[in-house]
Order: sequence, then C-alpha cells, then structure tokens
Amino acid sequence: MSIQPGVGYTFTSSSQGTNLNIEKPWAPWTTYATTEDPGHPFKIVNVQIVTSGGSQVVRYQVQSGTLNNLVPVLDDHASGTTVKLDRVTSGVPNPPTAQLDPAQYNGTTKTSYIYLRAGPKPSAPFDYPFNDVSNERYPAVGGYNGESTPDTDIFSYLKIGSIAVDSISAPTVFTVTQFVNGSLWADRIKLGTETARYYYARI
Amino acid sequence: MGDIIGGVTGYSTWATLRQAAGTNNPDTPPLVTGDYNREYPSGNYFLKTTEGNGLIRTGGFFRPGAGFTLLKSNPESVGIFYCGGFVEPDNETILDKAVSMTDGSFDIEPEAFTDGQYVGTDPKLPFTGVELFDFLT
Repeated sequence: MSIQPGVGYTFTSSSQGTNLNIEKPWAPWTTYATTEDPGHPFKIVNVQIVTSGGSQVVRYQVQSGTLNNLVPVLDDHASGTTVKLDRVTSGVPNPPTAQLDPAQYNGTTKTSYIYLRAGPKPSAPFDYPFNDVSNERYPAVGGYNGESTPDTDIFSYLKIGSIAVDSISAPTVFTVTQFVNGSLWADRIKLGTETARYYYARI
Repeated sequence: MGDIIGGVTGYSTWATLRQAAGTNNPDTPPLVTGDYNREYPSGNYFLKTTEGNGLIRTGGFFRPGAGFTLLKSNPESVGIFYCGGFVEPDNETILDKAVSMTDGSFDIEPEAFTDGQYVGTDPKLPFTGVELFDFLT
C-alpha cells in the first residue's frame, strides 16, 4: 500500500525515513447560516413564478411526508386533480405542482399560508385522518389566506410554511418560510361539545 | 420505561398520555373512537380539568385512565370512594379537594388512592362534582 500526495499534507524524505506533514488537518467548517436547508418531509420546494393565462402566478411543490402514515395530496394544476406528494410518474413533474390563485393569498400580508389539512372518518370507525384518498377529509396540502386558520370538528389545519410575494396580481419575487420539517403523528381529542383539538408529534 | 408513540393503531401522541377523567356515574354514554381519535360525550360521566386543556396524565399507554369511583356496598350501605390511575403530581394536587354528592360532600383523603375512603353510610349516588374538575358539557 502506498499513500499518494494530496491536499493538506506533504511528504518529505531524508536518510532517516519519510515524514508525513499535515499542514491543514481539517477543512474549514461550513457554517449553518450559509448552508441550504436540506431536503425533508413537507419542504416547500421548486417555487417559481410563471406566466399562465397572461398572468404571473406562483407555483410550488412539496416534498413527500406522512401524517399518521398517510401521504397527503396536493392540487396538481396540470391535471386539475389532487395527487399524492409521492407521485412518481414518467413524463410529469414529480412531486405534483400546485398553483396559487389570488384567493389563496392574504390581502394584507400578500402571503399564502401552506397548510396540511385532515379530517376524521365521518362514520365508524372514526379514524383520524380518513384514509379514503378520494374524500376531502384525506390529508391534503394547499394554500390558504388565513394567517391562523382555526381547527374545526371536521378539519385540522397545520401550517407547514408560507409563500410571500411582492404583488398578488403580478408577483415578481417571493419568499418561502418553512415551519414543519418532518413527518407527523397526530391525535384528535374532543371533549363534549368543545371543538376538537389536534395534537402533533414530529417523527 | 418508555411509552409507545407513533404506533400504527390506537393513539399515537397526546391521547396516549392524556385523557379526560372518568367516573362510575350511571348511564355511561358511548365513546366515539377510532384510530388516533377519541371523543368524550357530554354528560356527568367524564370530567375535564378546570385549568389547562382539560386532560390529565394517564401514566402511559398500558395503564388505565384516571378516574373517580364512588361505590355503595350492600347490605351495609357503606360508601367507599376511590381515586385511581392518577400519577404524580396530580394525585397530590387533588388530595383534600372536595367531592360533592347528591346529599353532601367530603374531602379526598389519602385512603382514596389505596384501600378506599369511607364516606359514610347510605351516600346518595351519583356524586355531582369534584373540585378542580367540570363535567363535560
């Protein structure tokens, strides 16, 4: 076995043998402040401003994750249907791509809040969330204009991030903020006639 | 000892470790349940805490939920009261708190957590309230 010269160290030879000189034992540490957020479940990605129907619109994707082992769906603008975040289909952009409509922005903050919504099965057994992907209670990710969208007995709303723009009608720049960075387990508890409460744990 | 969080059935997070307090009052209404979902019906069977989110610690997935039981033995008609399933510091918190019955009240004593607390003869059941708790509405 032999060691070849490389970055950070050199060899010197003399009559008494060969010396290994380590001049730079470690590469400089990369600071987290300048490191891009790594990929993770429910990360809002590939946000872009495109021209659609003569208007500038924002489109985005969300990396796949799970809520109680269910992969949520996203409104796919290309197909006009809801598609699971883990779709892998040849010839289409994966994961599905959503498009923000003006109604999905808060007029004051010019921000669309990206929520994960889910609801319980309406009949016994009352599993939460409902695992019928064709039902609106199945976990779904989408843009909402409410900075704080309250939970109801039917739906839980968990804000996973937001997309802010400079102009709702003609956006030119955007800012993405991420609040959730992992898959989730959640429980639904309802006391009497009080509105149901939802408790989450990140996994 | 660990508790199971994130199981594939039952409850996965908060509902594993927190519940409403139960009672043995009659006419128990059915719970509405499913995986990761539990609805406590209104009435005088379940109690919520007057402070906080209404739930109390259960001590874990495999342990029974906490609750209050008032029994009336026959033929002696002796009333015995039990507090079961409470964990620290909740059992200390509810010590000395008042329990009201149809015809009177008593304060919770340490025996309620062990062998049962004697609450007199011929108590009028059911009990109607516990200090620091409210029946679900």
